[in-house]
Amino acid sequence: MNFEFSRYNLKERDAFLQRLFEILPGLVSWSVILGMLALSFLKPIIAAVIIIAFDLYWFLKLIYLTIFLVISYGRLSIEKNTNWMERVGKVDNVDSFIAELSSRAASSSFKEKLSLLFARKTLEKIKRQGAVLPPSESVHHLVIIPIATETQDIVEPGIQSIKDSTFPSMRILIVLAVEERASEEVKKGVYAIRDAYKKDFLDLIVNVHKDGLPGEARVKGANATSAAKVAAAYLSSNGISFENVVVSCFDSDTVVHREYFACLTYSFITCAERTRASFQPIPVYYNNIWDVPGFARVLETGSSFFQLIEATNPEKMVTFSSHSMSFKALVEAGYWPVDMISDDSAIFWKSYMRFDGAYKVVPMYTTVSMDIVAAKTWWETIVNEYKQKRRWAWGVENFPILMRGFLKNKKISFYNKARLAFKLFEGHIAWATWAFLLTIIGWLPAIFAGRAFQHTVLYYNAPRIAGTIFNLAGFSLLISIVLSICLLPKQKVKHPFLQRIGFAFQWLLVPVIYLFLSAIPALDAQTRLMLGKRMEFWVAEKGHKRV
Amino acid sequence: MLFLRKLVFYCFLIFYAIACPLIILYAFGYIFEPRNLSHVVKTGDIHLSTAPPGASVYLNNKPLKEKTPALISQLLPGDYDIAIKTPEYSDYNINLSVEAGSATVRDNIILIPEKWEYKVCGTRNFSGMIPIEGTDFFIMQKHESSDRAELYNYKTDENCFLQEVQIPAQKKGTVLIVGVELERNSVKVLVWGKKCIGIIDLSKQEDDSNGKKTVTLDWIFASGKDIKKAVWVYNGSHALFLDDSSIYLIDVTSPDFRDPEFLFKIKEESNFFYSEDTGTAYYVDPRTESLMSVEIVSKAIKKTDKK
Repeated sequence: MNFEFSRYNLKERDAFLQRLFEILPGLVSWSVILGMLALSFLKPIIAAVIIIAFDLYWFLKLIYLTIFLVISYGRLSIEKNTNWMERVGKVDNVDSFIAELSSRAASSSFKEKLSLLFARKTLEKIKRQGAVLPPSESVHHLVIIPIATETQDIVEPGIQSIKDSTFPSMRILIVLAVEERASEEVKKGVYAIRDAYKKDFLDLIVNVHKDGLPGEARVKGANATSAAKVAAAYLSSNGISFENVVVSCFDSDTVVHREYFACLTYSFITCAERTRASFQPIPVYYNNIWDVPGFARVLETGSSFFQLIEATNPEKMVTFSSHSMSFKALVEAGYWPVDMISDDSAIFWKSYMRFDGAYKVVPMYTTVSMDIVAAKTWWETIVNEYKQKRRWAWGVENFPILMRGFLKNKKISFYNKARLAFKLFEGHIAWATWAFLLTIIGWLPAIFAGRAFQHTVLYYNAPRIAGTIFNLAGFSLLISIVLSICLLPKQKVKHPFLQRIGFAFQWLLVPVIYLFLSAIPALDAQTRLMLGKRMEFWVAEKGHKRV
Repeated sequence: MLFLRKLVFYCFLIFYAIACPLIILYAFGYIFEPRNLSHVVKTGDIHLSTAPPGASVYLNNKPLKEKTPALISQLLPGDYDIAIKTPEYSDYNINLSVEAGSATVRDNIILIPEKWEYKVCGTRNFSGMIPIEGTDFFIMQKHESSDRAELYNYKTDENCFLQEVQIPAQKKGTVLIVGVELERNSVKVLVWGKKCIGIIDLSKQEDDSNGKKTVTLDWIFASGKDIKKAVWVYNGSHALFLDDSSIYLIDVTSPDFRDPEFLFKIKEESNFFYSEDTGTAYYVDPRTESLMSVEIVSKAIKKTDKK
């Protein structure tokens, strides 16, 4: 369906619906918070019952998510040592590869057996579907790196990591998409990178995105789209079919795993619907993890956990941050939105609408590493974290556009529309409200209980039940702590063991961290949308400790 | 993976659908009681707290694992004998009724020790003490053999001397302090004896020649007959006092300490009340025995009738 994935230039009815759906998430979130506050004062018994029901729901959801977090982490661990480039080379002959995978399993370790089993299952499925796989040699990669304020020292490690990857770098085209308004220092760094690395890739192009073009907001998507169009012209002129090109739009600080492009290539080749798919790696924030305060580490590890969990549910997965997709799909979908901040998720929804629901995300069990937002002082880091989380939460801007699209689209089944819309809506409401309900509002009926309520069994039982639930939830917290330590990169510092123990204790700050640096930014974003305000794109300050 | 997710999801959903109402019913006090005809019974709780905490609780002579503060839950409606025991304290016994869905609360039970422990706070001889409400101090009335009264801080266990400053009209000798009142917006204390009125400023502590902390008690009026009560008026600038059935107003800020102004008489052996919020005094008229009020501190200029 040709649907204009934008909030601008809408006809009267569309404008009304747009505004209605913009108001809805914030309205519901505030209603939940204020409604529960009021109930705690006015009808404490009803509030206590709702809180018990919510706490139990939250606990079960936590356990549910923890189960899939463990499964996903296990999968990541299984694929940690997979030689993806070897598989890319062998996938051209599916039958012999399947046979080889079966025979190798006998002499492999348990983890390798599982990895080989997953690979075999994927290939058998491809074979059943009768899909034609593109030759591995024909797959090219396009990497677009939008740059606004990041200097050479931030961008270069990412370029180096692409160069060092196991996938042949001569089949990788890089476009450094720098904003016209960037400083001279930034531009100088970009050109220096081009000059240093151009020979290591198919090509390394610098595209300067003009500022203030009509119809564009000052957003990363506009810059990336400009670069993609330049890349499209390049690829066309060099006879490279879009069908065999995978585009990756990375944050400027993204450092890819050595096997990233090989894994991506393999995932692309073995995906029957490869030109109708995005490919989502697991984002981790290792670049400067030991240089930032503990609360920032906990927060970003939580983001990684979220993506790990989402990877187990590809039917409802949405792209996030640095990810890849079919370049053909990107071109057909009309490139990234040029007037939306949340380009990473918006491109998924835009593609989903464009292809009438025949679009999916393929999880990749490999990582891309980025910077944690940082600053010189603790307070500045807190402010920067708050702004970044608010920008992430601004992904709620997709909701009204998506709902309008769903109302118009007759090809996507009602079931799919309902479940995706519900997941998006519920996810944002939960993001903004749950921390309030768990840490503050849940205790109010007992604190502000009138005399009548104080002499009920419920008054005494409700806090005990909540306490028991939270104690049981500690099990999930323990697993999170263990997995977060397992995920940490090797650290070449003194007393790494003590550092890790300190990191484990920082998880005890989760209730406070998630209230102030997750829920409140989300509520802030939804409130702005509700009130019709917009957010200027704020580029996160990234920084590495200078050694 | 999709199948696993769906399986786990529906298992959790079914568990929630069953567990949630059961937990809510439990929260209201419902339990499964097989011996009861209806099997589901609404119970009540007993909540106990004691000073000191940590006492053992016995329910119908059976010891419970809970210690005070204790919540005894899942009790069938009815009467229960509760005994609270702890070493070196007398047992506390009470019979409590439990109603369905209600919590019977007995908080702030003071357990009586078998032997009270007494502690000597000061070694001087005192004839009496007057606590200054709203502060951490007592005024320790000086004994005839002592030269000065003292202030004792019960929180810090420190004392300091009360240095009395006597006005010329005051007769020398021991002044027995009858009452005290703290000014609500400061740490000044109005002090009165049978014939005198004085002020202590607790914020001004000084060291005397021996290095001992002292606070000054300024006697500002010494010509009373039988002062029974004094109160602060108008943000500590004046005092209203009852002297032998007469109410007087005195300016305490004037360095010359003007003579008190007689206001009115009240019924003998009765009291008066003054509200600083409204500036109004209340008393019983001696002649009519009616409750009277008079505005001591006017909030607005009164309009006079023009003739």
